[in-house]
Amino acid sequence: MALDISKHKDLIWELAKRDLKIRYKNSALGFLWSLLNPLLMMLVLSFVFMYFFRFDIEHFPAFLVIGIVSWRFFGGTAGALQSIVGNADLVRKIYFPREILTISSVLSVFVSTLLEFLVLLILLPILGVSPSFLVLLLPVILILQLIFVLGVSFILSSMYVYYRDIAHIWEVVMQAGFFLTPIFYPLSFIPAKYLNLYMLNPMAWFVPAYRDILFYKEMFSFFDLSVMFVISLVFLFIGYYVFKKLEPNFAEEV
Amino acid sequence: MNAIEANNVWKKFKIPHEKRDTLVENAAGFIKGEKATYEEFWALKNINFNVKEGECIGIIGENGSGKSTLLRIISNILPINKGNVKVRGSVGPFLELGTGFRGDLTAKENVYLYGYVIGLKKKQIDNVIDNIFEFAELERFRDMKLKDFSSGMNMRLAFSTAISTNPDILLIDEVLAVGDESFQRKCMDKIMEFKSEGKTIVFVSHSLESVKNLCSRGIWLNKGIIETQGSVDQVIDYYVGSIRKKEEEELLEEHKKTEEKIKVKEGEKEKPKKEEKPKNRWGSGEIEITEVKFFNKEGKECHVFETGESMKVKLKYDVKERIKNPLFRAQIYKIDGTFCHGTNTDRHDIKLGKLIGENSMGINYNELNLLPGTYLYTVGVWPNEQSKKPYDNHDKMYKFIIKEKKVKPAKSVGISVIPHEWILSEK
Repeated sequence: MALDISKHKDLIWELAKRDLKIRYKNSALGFLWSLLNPLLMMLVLSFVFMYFFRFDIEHFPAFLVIGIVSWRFFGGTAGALQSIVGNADLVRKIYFPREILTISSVLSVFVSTLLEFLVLLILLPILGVSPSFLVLLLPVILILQLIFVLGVSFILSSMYVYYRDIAHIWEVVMQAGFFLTPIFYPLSFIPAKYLNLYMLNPMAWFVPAYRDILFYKEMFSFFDLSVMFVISLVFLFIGYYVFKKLEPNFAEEV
Repeated sequence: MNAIEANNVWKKFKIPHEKRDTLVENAAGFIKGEKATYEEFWALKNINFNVKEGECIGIIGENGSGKSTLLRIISNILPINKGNVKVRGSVGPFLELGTGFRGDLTAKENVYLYGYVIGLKKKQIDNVIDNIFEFAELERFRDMKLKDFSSGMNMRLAFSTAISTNPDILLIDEVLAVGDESFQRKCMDKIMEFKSEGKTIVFVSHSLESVKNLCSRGIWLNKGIIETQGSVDQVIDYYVGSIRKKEEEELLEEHKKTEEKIKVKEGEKEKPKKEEKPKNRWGSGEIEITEVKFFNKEGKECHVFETGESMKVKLKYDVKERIKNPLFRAQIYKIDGTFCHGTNTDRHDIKLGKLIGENSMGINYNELNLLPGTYLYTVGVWPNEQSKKPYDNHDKMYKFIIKEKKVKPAKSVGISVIPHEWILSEK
């Protein structure tokens, strides 16, 4: 796989750029518009949980926005799901390693995520949380989540070629996931007897890790890091295996 | 060196009886224990051929014979079930009707995208992009979205992109079918130029003329099997011969059906049902034409002739009541209704005298100087030339086909052969 990527890096980058251009409608203003969604979410959810639910968490908007941005990264899988079917003409007409389509789609999501984290780092002090040197660990989590997102995207994009209801199913999964991931509440809210079950959600490991280094300014545990490492690699291997298994018939099925 | 080697290639398509393309349907089927059933369809069976470097090979065959599937396999788009295909060198895109990658991008962006897909660098694409648009005659439409292109524009862009990126092997599937004549010629010239540069070309076309001009070798694919391969002239001759045989069989079948319709009327003469009467037959019925058959010069029943060949038409008729000097008329129409030729017994001063009972007659066309096409034949028997009411008239009920001559083709269009030649330096 590494070989394919290096050989086709121009193509991957080009396709990712296309995605970004379409997402941001060819303008810097487009990027600002795209920030509107997470910021509005932050405002509304902050209001709801601070004043209606009376959550007693210090700097709740900052707490919340970290969760939202890292969840949005995972939400990119919904776009990557379309990466093969959305390029049906390309797949039907010319041969090239198909994983390039999924990789470039995830790459474009990653670039958006990096930009959003950049804005987040500027926003955090305004919301009362000044960053510490632990920010330097941010790339580690980002890379691990990138690998995880790529693995999931491989599974989704290749299966979507055969099963078109995956898009709807995935929408429901994402909606449920938003509530079953510690985005607007801390892990400590989960009753102990459900915690093991709850932690089967991979995103329940990533979101708190971001929060550790950006919000609590604590180092995440080595155990947490190992789990994230294993999760990403397992998903990448499964994803790539499924993708390669289904790839030969893409041209017939898309 | 072989540019393409195909050994014992088999390709199967699955045609599901009931398409299940959702996870839910599949899961439901699995729980109910119903296996998804499908029919297997072998699109290609035991395909063996080689294409040498710099060779130009033509693939011919009827629709659905597996030609496009074969090209897709060569370009590595479709997997095969058995055998192996080796390709040496870069393969151009699979050129077919409606080529285009992404409708939501502009023409220029599509060209770049295509360039990146085949592994070109931005600089390399920059260098050829002007040529591409110039050749395609689409300079003004660079920034138009591809979805707004007509199919002809699309094809032009695809063709010039494919040509300009200079692949080692060019696969062409019937692209010359669209586009105006001048562009077709331009493409053909470009393909010839490509050929002279020693590139390998696989050319799929229904235009046997272009296959003959371009290719030295041919393959005839018939229902997924290589029927024959070899020198292009031989393959085409064999193919044309078989097509002709098939057409002949079809026309014979049609002719028989027409004859049956006539018989029905005869049998039910007592109470003729209007709705069962063939539409294009009418007449008072004192004389009935009971059989019309076409024969070739060997005296064999035949419906496919070559321009200039002889044709004999034999009629049988039945005179119910004694009739004096009826007039027989025979006419040839083109399939679009154009009247090509007519003759009758009066014009030839033939007096048939007093007739009764079953009888027969024939018309001999010594030279059928009609140009290739489908023709309809009318025969009728009338009281006289001016009469409006025939005894029996079979209007355009019989069909025959004229084919181009194999030797000395007429090289003309229209209705009839008019011998001519072009003189280039006439003052």
